[in-house]
Amino acid sequence: MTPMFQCEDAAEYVSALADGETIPSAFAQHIGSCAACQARLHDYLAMGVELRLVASVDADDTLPALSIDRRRTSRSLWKKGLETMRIPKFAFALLIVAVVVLASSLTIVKVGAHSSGSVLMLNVTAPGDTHFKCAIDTRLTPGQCIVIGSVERTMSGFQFTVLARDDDRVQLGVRTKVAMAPSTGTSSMGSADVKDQPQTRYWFEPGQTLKIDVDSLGSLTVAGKWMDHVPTMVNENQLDPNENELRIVSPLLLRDKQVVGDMEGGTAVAPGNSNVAMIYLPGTGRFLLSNTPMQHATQANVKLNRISFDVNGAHYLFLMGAPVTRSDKIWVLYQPDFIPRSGGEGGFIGSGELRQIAPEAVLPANH
Amino acid sequence: MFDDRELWKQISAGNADAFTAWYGDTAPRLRAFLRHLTGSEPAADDLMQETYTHIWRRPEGFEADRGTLRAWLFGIARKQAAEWWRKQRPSDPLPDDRSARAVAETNSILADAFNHLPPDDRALLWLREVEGHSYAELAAILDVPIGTVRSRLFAARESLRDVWHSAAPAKGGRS
Repeated sequence: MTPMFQCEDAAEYVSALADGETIPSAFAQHIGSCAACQARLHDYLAMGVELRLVASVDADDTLPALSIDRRRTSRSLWKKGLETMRIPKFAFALLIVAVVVLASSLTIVKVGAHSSGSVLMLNVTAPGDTHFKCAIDTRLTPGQCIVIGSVERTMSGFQFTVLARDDDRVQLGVRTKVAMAPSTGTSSMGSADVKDQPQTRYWFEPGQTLKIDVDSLGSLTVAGKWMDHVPTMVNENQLDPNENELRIVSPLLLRDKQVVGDMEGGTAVAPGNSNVAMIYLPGTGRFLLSNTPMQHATQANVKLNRISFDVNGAHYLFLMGAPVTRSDKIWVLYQPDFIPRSGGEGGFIGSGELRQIAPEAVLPANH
Repeated sequence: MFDDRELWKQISAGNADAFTAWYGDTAPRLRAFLRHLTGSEPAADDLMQETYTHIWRRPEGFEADRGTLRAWLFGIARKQAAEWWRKQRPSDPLPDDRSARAVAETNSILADAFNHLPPDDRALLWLREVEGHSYAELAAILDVPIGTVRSRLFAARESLRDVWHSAAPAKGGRS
């Protein structure tokens, strides 16, 4: 027995039928025997034909030129103008390391058949068998990275910038700064110090090696490869922190549940108990984080990727992109008045020996 | 000729030539879509430029598993147009060149009726009838369930039919 339908009941299926969809048998039977539904179907089909006719006329125009200018503006990975830094693994004690300064636009480059990505991963060997990695996202302008660290007995900074790309080859702009590290007291070098140096240009093709002579230091050997993303470089990508290691990955800071700092992409590793990690946020100050007690520091609770602590009546919470340490307690020294030597316009993340970064925070030996 | 994945690989890698070629292939129909969606040729051209610029800047948004490149393109354009409509103040007069050229050239009563539909209905009908997107693609473009696509298409068709019939009473009565 065929169910009784009003045309309104079947109308939606008429529409589906006009789209070439199959419909329930009962509705199909009604539509097949109902003049009003068939008239509706006819109208729907005619409307489609008319619309396609209009579209055909309309699509026959001369197109305006596309103005992409062959330059691509990318979303900034850095919030509030913070200058973020990424720290690869070093085979030596870090003082300060800053890598990957990302900017807000990029240059369109030709991509060759052999390229399989837009990120150039440089593996650099410095004197003293010092190794570091440096990832450059060539979709950004400038696509560059900055590494600052201790090499032999110097504080050295290197900036690599992709100036141009031709197939797999890139033209690298390299700036270097070498300063003798003092045996005692504080020492620091910021990205601005490196950026001020003259730039030397080299053509470099991943798969080959490039030798760069650096005055007062020796030779850098640069190797590299193309990658399809900027990897998170935290001690060979192991998620679990090593013993006595403290890791800072993409920290987001909340004060009384309000976000006061976002250093997305910034990474630092403080290996061993003599090293501390530091996070500087313009307008907020510097935080030193240590696995061991520091003078005037506050004990903080750690749960995987979260660090919570209270200072001056305010509750602070660091959210990280990866587990922080193996311990459930660390110490945080908040220095709201700290201004870096570079002036403090950009935020940074780093790590280094506490006695060099903040000797005043080292506990007396008898403590 | 590239398939979607290969083409997108090229574009994502910053191949401006591939992107420009894709623009040449897709822009005429996108422009027509935007013209009828906004009722304004200048607005359509602006939105078209914004759509391609958006894609050029953020190529990571395309997911081949969710639909075709064309469907994604029209989905972004639709959102741009929706945002454009949202910014039109209620007191603003409607654009006075509501696809005037197309209407004049086809002398189509239906085109005129179509341009009196709400923008969402216009977008949906155009994407289905002219661009031929499947229900699944429309669901992805509009971010709604497939069942909603069917009911919205029906409602849009009914609205168009109403306007069409009222503009051309000689076409006959309705059920």
